[in-house]
Amino acid sequence: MSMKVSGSVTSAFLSSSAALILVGLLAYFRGSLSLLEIYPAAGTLVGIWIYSYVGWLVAWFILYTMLRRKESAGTLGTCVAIFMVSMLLSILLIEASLKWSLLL
Amino acid sequence: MTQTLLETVMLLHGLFAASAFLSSIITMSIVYSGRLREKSLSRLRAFSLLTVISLLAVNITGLYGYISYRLPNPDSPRSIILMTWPLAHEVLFETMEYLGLIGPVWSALVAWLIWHYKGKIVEEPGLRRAVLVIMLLGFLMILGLSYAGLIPTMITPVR
Repeated sequence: MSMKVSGSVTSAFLSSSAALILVGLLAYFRGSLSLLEIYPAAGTLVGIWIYSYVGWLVAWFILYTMLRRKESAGTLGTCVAIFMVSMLLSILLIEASLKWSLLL
Repeated sequence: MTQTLLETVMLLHGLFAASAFLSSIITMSIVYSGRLREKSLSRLRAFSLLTVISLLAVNITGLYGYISYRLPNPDSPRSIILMTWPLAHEVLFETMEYLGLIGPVWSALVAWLIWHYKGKIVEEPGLRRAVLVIMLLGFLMILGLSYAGLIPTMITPVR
C-alpha cells in the first residue's frame, strides 16, 4: 500500500472521492435545495444524479490536467484511505437524512 | 400474457443488477487468482467495464420505474408502502435510491485502475490488495442495496 502512484491515478481517486461526498451532501440537503428538482416527476433524484456526476467528471478533468505529468503524487495507501473515508462519509450523510425514527 | 413497457423495464432492472453482481464477482476472482493467463487481461478489462455499464443501466432503468413508483396517487407503490410499512420506503427504498448512485463511481474507479495498470494489477501485491478491498466493499454495498430494494418490491411491485 506504500506504493507510489502517478498523478493520473491520484486524480482518478480524488475525483471519485469528491463525487461520493457530493452525492452524500446533495442527498442530505435535498429538502432545502430546489435546484435539484430538474425533473419534478422524479423528485430530487435526477438533480442529485446529474450534479454529482457532472461534478465528478469536471473534477476528474481538472485534476487529471493538473496532475497528469507528475510521476509521483502520493501513495496508494493514502488514495485508498481517502476513497474509503469518502465512501463512509457519503453513506453516513445519506443515512442521516432518512427517517430512522420510524424504527422506534 | 402481455407485458407493459414499465414491467419490461423493471425486468431489465433486475437483470442488469444480476449482471453487475456476476461481472463484479468474475472481476474479483480474476484479480484474486493472482495470475493472468493469455486472454485473462482482456477478460478482466471486459468484465470490469461490464460492471460499470450494468450499474449505470440499473440506475437508468431504476429511474424510469421510480417515476411510476412515486406517482401522487393512492394506488401508487409508494403510497401503498407508506400505508402498510413506512420504514420500507423511508429507510430501505431511499437508501437504495441514493446510495445506488455511488455504484457507477466506485466501479468506474476500479475499471479505470484495471485499464491503467494492465497486468500489474495482479502482479503487484499492494495494488492487487487495494483493488480487492475496494471491489469487496463495493460488492457488499450492491448486495445490501439489492436487499434494501427487494423488500419494498415484495410489498408491492412497480407496475
